[in-house]
Amino acid sequence: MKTRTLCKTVAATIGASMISLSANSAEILVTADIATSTTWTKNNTYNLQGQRYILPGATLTIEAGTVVASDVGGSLAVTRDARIDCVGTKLEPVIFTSKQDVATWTAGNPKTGTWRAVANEWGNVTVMGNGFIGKYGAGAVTTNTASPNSGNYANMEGLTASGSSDTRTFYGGGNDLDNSGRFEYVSLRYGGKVVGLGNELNGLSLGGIGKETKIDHIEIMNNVDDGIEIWGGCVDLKYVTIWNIGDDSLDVDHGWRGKIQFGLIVAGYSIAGAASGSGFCDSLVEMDGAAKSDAQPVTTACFYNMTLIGQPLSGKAGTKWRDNARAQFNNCIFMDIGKEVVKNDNTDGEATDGQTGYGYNGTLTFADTWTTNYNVYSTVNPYSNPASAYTAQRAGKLIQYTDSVFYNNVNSAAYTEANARGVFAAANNNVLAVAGSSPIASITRGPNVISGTVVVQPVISLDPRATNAAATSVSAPISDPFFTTAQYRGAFGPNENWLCGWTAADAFGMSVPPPTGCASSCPADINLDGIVNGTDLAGILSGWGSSGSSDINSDGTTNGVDLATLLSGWGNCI
Amino acid sequence: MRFTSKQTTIALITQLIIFIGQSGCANESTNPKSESVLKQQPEMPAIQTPASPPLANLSRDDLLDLAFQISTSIPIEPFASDRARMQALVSQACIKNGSLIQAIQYASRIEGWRQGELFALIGQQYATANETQRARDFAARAMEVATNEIDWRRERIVIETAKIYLQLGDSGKASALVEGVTQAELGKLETARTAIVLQSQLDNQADMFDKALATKNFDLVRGAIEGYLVWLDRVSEDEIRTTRALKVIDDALPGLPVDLQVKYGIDFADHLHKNLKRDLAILKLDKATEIFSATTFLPEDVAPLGAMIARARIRMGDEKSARLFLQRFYSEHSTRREGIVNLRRATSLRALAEGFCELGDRDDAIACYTWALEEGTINPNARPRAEDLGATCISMAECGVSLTPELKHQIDTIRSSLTYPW
Repeated sequence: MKTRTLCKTVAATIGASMISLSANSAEILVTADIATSTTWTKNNTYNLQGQRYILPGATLTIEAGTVVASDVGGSLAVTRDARIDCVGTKLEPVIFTSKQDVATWTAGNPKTGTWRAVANEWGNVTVMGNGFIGKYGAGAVTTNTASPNSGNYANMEGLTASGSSDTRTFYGGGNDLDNSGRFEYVSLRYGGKVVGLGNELNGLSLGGIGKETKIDHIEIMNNVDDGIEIWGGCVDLKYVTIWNIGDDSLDVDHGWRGKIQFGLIVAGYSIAGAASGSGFCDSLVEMDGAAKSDAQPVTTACFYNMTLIGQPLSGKAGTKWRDNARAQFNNCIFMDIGKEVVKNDNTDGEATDGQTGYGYNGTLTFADTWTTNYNVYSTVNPYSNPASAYTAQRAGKLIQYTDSVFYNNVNSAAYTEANARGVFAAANNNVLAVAGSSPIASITRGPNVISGTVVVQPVISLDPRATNAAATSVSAPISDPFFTTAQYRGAFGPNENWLCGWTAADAFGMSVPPPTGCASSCPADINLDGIVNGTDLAGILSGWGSSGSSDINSDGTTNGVDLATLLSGWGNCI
Repeated sequence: MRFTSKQTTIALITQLIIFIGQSGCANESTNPKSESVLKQQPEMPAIQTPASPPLANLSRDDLLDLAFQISTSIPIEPFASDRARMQALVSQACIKNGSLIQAIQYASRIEGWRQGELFALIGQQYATANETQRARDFAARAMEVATNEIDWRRERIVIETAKIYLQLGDSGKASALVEGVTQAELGKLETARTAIVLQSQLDNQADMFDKALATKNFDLVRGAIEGYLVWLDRVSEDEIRTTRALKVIDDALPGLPVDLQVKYGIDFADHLHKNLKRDLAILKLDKATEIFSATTFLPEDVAPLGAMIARARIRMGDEKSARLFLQRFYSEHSTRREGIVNLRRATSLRALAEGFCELGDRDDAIACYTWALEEGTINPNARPRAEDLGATCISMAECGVSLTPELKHQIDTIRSSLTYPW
């Protein structure tokens, strides 16, 4: 292994359970880039020293249960053509955090700890791939073109190249099926170390990531900049939870063409006293079409089953739209949003020549985008065959909100734009829930915190299970192999809380387990459609030997034990 | 022949000390008229190939077996898909070579959906050979794998299995099998159907392809173009229908990504050439070349696409320009490689080698393979090195190139280095 690692100390904590850091666990200082494939094991903790890269051809495998606890400045980036194979389990997630966080754990047990109003304690994880990106114009690489081009690339925000020949910081290319590896059951906490003004690190940065990359069960807790930011590519995400983010919770840009199902966003603050954008939440979801409004690819996405919980008093927009972005929000919950639920943000910091917003240079106006079918493609700088690139949307309009619940969004401008765009037209099956009929089981906010000029109402306890109008939806997700059939609104079914077991929210006591406990009442119902049947069996067989949702008992492999569980639970879930 | 034990592997490697002869290779002979200019390039590795003929013959099956062993050495975790993909490439190469027993042996050892697809492809070979029972057996084996798969992986198997039944004349069974399969995949079946339907049904097929083209859905458009190319073969004696096909394909190609415009442009030319429309074929190939030349591709895509054009030129009988084309890309590799990440460099050289093979320029092909093997050693990780080495072995087997002792030594050296870290 060429990676220079130094065994510095023996961890002082003594574990009381199998998931605790053991008495023998050593702290490994990661002091160099990873040029050769390496495995990080759960019996050690890893401390990233500065910005470290996994180089092309190398695979970093991180065992379930591994803790990466870094000092200030420690960060990990996966370069193009490198891989990360970071697969935790519900019982043993992989945790990227700060040493200060670990210090709050009881006896080294990562399922304990105390939430703190801090961030910036380490850097982040960045993954870069070879998918197409829409980065053209001001701030872009000068050789990039406005039309889709496999030669278009960009320098990743927050990473600094060591010289003109340093390609480690590049993302983007011409392979939308690119594979950057697996990132599953991973909790990232207290990160975002700022390396320069306007050059912050997001909790998880994904640039040009291709469809073969598997990302699911990801938690971002307390980050100074965005929670997750995605630039271009077409990676899909499933089971994502983002809490207490200092800027936008989820930010998608530069032609991302992917899907997300089961996403929870809880707006709050990550740094006491900070302003919005640098420690107190900005938008819950911000969407930029492309760096220049008429460049392609343009962000065209599809969301199902999102639960978006804002900050009622001082919070910002729920969903913010820029630069010709297109996205569909279906079967979602929008609640407690501080300002507009839908905001047309017709400005852009990247703009220098009037290229911002909608309707620029022949693109659709914002209003037109809402009434234009998903398969009508821009003729400006087009793909030669746009249907090959824009695959996330399979029906409906380019922008739509359907089959969703809107609750307790009390700002006077909360629904101004939404009403203007016909969000509540009967055909959309949206529900404006009345006071007292919360779409989630419970939410508890702590005492108000005065943070600079804003009033934060921190969520200290959440039972996110669907109830009332969210308990059932008119439609299930559209037929698409990625989407799980889920006949409810929001990220959680009436009987399940997938935060259980692996998240900081669970460890910190902020997530309320369901009455039946953390284990699912119907564990063999892999696709969460309320019945254990042949589809679940197919899922078991498909996932045989690997981890993931088919690994019912979360022991790291799908095997006969899981099959037996499935067969014993055959039939309708009770 | 199967090599599974360590001893057998060593024996195989020992045999490879001498050359691999080519039984049944279309381009196995050296071309006495072509003098390699590649060795004149100063930046390139010195060509150490002796001018002497092969010292001994080893079958291409042995080289493919080596490729399979290399791919099987890739650890399943976390590289299951990389490993299976590589193994499947070997099995496919065996099918292409007509080594069905070897293909079956390999397919049986592959995990996941690719095994089902390979069983179906093998079944198609038996169907073509009118070995009906064996074809049905493999259809059944393929579908057995399919029952454990979901989504597009299952559909891939089902489509290829349905083709077996089409070939066996059981169109109804084929249609029943694909019920519920997404439209995007169905184009492949309809292309296969077009090759065998009655003349009276051909217009129905074309009408179906027209509808697919009108959707502008990428997968449907690709399927329709492929269908029309087969349709062109069936109607080549019919001027009106041929004109229809030419127009439809001409109109559809610009709607594809540029690299696919080049690839399908070459296919278009090949189909025309096959149907004795040589002048038109050359026009279409010129058009593909024009698109290629006018486009700035990524450095790693230039030589592979260029080699495709060169090989098409060879098939059209224009060996001179093909050779110049290949030599140009070879000479440019020493500068272009700097812009290519090390684990992708060998791909360009393999493509050029295959072009030289097709020309019968044995020394130039070996120079390319020598360099490809060198390029494939740079990455410090065994997984990309194994993928490169396996791909080069497959390429050499398919080309029927003669192994030199130096190439053999290179292969041995690389193979012995395929250990942790992967």
